[in-house]
Amino acid sequence: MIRREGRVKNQSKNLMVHLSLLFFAILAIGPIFVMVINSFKTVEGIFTGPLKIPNSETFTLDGFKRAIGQGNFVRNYGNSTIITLGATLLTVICSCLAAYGITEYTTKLSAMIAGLFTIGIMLPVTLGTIVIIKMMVRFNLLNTHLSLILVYVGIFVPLGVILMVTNFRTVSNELKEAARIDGANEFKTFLIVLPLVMPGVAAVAAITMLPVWNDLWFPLILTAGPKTQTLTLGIQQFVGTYQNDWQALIAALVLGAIPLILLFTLFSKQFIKGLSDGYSK
Amino acid sequence: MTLPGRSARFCLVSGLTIPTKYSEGVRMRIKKVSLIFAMSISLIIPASVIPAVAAKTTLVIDSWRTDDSKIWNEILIPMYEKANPNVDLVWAPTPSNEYDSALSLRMKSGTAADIVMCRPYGLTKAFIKDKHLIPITGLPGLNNFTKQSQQSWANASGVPYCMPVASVGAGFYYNKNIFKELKLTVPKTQKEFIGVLDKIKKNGKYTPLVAAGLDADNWALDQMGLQLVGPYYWKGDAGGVALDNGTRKVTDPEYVAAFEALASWKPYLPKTFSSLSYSDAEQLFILGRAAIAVEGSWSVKEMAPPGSNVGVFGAPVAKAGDKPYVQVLADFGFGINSASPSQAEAKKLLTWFSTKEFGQALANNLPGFFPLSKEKISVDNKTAQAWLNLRDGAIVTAPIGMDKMNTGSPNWFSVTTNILNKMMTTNMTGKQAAAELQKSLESWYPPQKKK
Amino acid sequence: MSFFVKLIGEFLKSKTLVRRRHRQLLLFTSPALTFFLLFAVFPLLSTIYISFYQEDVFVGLKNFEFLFTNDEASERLLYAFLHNVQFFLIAASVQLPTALCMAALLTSGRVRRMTSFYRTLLFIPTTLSVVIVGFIWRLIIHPLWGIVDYPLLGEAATALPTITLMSVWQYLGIPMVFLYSALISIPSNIIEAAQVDGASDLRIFFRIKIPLIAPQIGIITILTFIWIFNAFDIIYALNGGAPGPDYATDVLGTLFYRTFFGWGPDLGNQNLGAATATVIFFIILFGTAVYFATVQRRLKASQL
Repeated sequence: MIRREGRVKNQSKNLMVHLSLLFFAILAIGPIFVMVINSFKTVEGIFTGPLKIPNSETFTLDGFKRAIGQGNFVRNYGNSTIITLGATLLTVICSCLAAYGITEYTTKLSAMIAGLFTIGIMLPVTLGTIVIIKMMVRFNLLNTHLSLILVYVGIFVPLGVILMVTNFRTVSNELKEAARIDGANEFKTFLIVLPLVMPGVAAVAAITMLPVWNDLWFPLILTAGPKTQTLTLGIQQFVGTYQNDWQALIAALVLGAIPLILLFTLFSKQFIKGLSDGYSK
Repeated sequence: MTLPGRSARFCLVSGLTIPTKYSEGVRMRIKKVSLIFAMSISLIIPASVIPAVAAKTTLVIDSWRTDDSKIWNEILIPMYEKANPNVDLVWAPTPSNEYDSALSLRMKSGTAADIVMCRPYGLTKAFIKDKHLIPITGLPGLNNFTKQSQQSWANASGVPYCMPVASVGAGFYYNKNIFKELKLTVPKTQKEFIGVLDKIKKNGKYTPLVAAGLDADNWALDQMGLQLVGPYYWKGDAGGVALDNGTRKVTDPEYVAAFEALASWKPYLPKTFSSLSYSDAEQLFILGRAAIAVEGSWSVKEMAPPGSNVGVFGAPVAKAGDKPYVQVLADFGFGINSASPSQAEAKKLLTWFSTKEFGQALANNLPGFFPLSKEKISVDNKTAQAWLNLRDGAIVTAPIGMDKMNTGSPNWFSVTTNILNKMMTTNMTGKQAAAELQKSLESWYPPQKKK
Repeated sequence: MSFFVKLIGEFLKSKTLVRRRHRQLLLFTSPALTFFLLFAVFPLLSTIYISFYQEDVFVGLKNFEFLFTNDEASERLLYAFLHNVQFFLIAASVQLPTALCMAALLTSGRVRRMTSFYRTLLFIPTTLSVVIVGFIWRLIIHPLWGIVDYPLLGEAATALPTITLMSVWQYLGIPMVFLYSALISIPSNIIEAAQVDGASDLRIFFRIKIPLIAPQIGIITILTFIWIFNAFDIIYALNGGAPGPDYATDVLGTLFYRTFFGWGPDLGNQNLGAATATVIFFIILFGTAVYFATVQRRLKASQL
């Protein structure tokens, strides 16, 4: 008797938890889902039944056609991709090198450098924008992808380093010693150790890509020209320009949201590991 | 530590030898990583410093008229390029609300377009002071324009910096079908105006009046609000000069009357006015849900498309029989960026902007923009003609506060637009708004400082 | 202080081992350090430096004097600061409990296989850019096209709280994930022991789990503080450069933007902008220092 009661109580508690999570999930996904289904609808479809799934009458790809045609989208996608990949790659490389150095050559100096990077995570870099602009102007880098890449690496390297430090600490010394005995120099030893910290690398890559792709401030300031506009900036300007073309607007937003949503659902494990490892230090 | 065949080639690329002690799997991974490493760097670095390659002279034009992109790209630019095959024109507009700050940043960092569309007074004067525009004295075509129309884009001594192009007006669009349905006549006096609005409100089917209420669009409440009904009360340009010199105060009765006339619209605006953006207001009118819309003449294309039944009327007068005032603003010109490498070609383009050919093309394709040139240009759009007709029998004036009170920080623009938005979205009265504006002026505008 | 003395002492030691270590260390960390120092630290310090000048003329504290004593400027600065405080209080009071609740539900052990499903869904808003978030929510709460009747974004009283909640919706994912990993790293034997003792789930949560993850809650709070006092993106995405109805949505970030880049016919002033940025930086620094000196120390002390 008691056991059955206990199980019923347990089941109802489970149900409550599921329902609560479902509630939060709907709150989180609902607006996005509504936007996505409306991007495939005609204007009447959008206004008469915003919550309905497009049927044969209301289905159309016009919004997407116009969004891609009128906006700079293909080029914006390309720019965002180059900038994000470039920044992520460089951040990963620098972070791995630095973290290896910090964990391998432990001295008071290495502790100091680690402390510097820890503070660096919290640095409000956007406040230094004025000087960043001047630097970019001086070296003729305004409206180039490189300007954004350099700034982003500077911003995200501290977090990357701290993340990789926790990963490198798990590498056993024996492996490194064996490599050294075989005559490998320090850099080769580093390369040998590298495959063992791949999960950390994936995490750093994941949590760098997200804010870099979505950033609005620096592209607005440094690469606002149509040739070098990022996707996020392009969408913001598209919204400002085509305020009344609902179809194209919603389609444009969906085009902007899809890449990261896709990326995240595929690599959610790495994202989450990266965030939790990084900040728990 | 040598490796056979294929793996040796890999290692040549990545330039390292890996101790054979480690498993094949690990070695392959290391080699793959280094290869990707090397390839990515060699791809990304050249891709990220994209050079600008130009064949013929390219002139980039910046403007806030993103709405007109189609016309420029399909009609106006091809017109010029056909006659000047060695020039490539690129129309690169920036959304209007960001134009000023974006252009300012680009000017300061030397990355602005070759040709920029010039705002009247304010921003242009600031650029002139900071030497971001080149003077165009004696440019062929400049004498197609009166000295007065050049004023908004000249320095204090009258040296011109932008070629004037077009003017716009402010007024009311009204839906003729709704007026017919509710048996309304076009109002001429303030009393008639309120009467019309009352009737529409009582009927309940339509929103009587729409305007831009969102704070981000508060420029509209100044340019098409205060400066639409105001000139009648402060007697046009004279009223502006008096404020500039400090001989009159904003708290004087004629200016207060202007604020109160604007405030009289409040009961007839939509309930959720403070969230209504400029384009939302347009939409409500276009969808036929609003009877009257406060607007500028530049929106003829959107507000009165072919097939619609839309009319235009001007600001009401207080006393029947008085001559109405019509606000006309010299809206835009084109100037040359002092940092442009193609100034000779840019000057030729500016001259083309002064020709009858361009003026006529502008009037035909962008109805509601009225060429400032002295040339005779015909207007065949019915609604655009209706805007021009407002000037018959009326006194034409320009907006006030845009010149002397618009430099520095704060300025007429930042202060007035903020106060007007507050007045129209809260219980603030016209009198209180005028008092607040006067208080602000006295704190930063020397001629108005309390003596 | 003694730290630095020891450091210098190390340098002076002629032990080749230490020297060699330092050389390798610097070699490996130089790329990262270069980027960081050049593009993050240097601009920030330079900005503080510029704030003491006016167009290449050294004026000492004049810019700060202007910011704090000029009627208009000081009013703007004060209100921007207060708006940031308002933003932070609303965000902290809504975001933290909600994220904690979500993390608790996810780690309650009652959703086993569905955990990653829910976790992924709940994190998706964080993958969106502010432009998309701003647009979707503006549409939903739009009096004309949406489901809300009241002009939330247009009225001075509700504009900022509304934007704050939008921002909370977007960034809930980060504290959620962070607290989630903190919760799952609690050793299970502690939980089991409490369960054996007959404690209910809720009791275990409040009396055991929360105190154990208190330091992490603290860290996410201070990080939220820093991010919010740096906030600009979402307000810009919704309002452009405009300061909002009667300056209601003007925060330190938008004030900085307007001071430096100008607004309308005002071309902006880089030295004043730099001074504004410096003030913001010191506010953040001060808040962080106060936090670490008081709260974090007490939290660490109460740890098991």
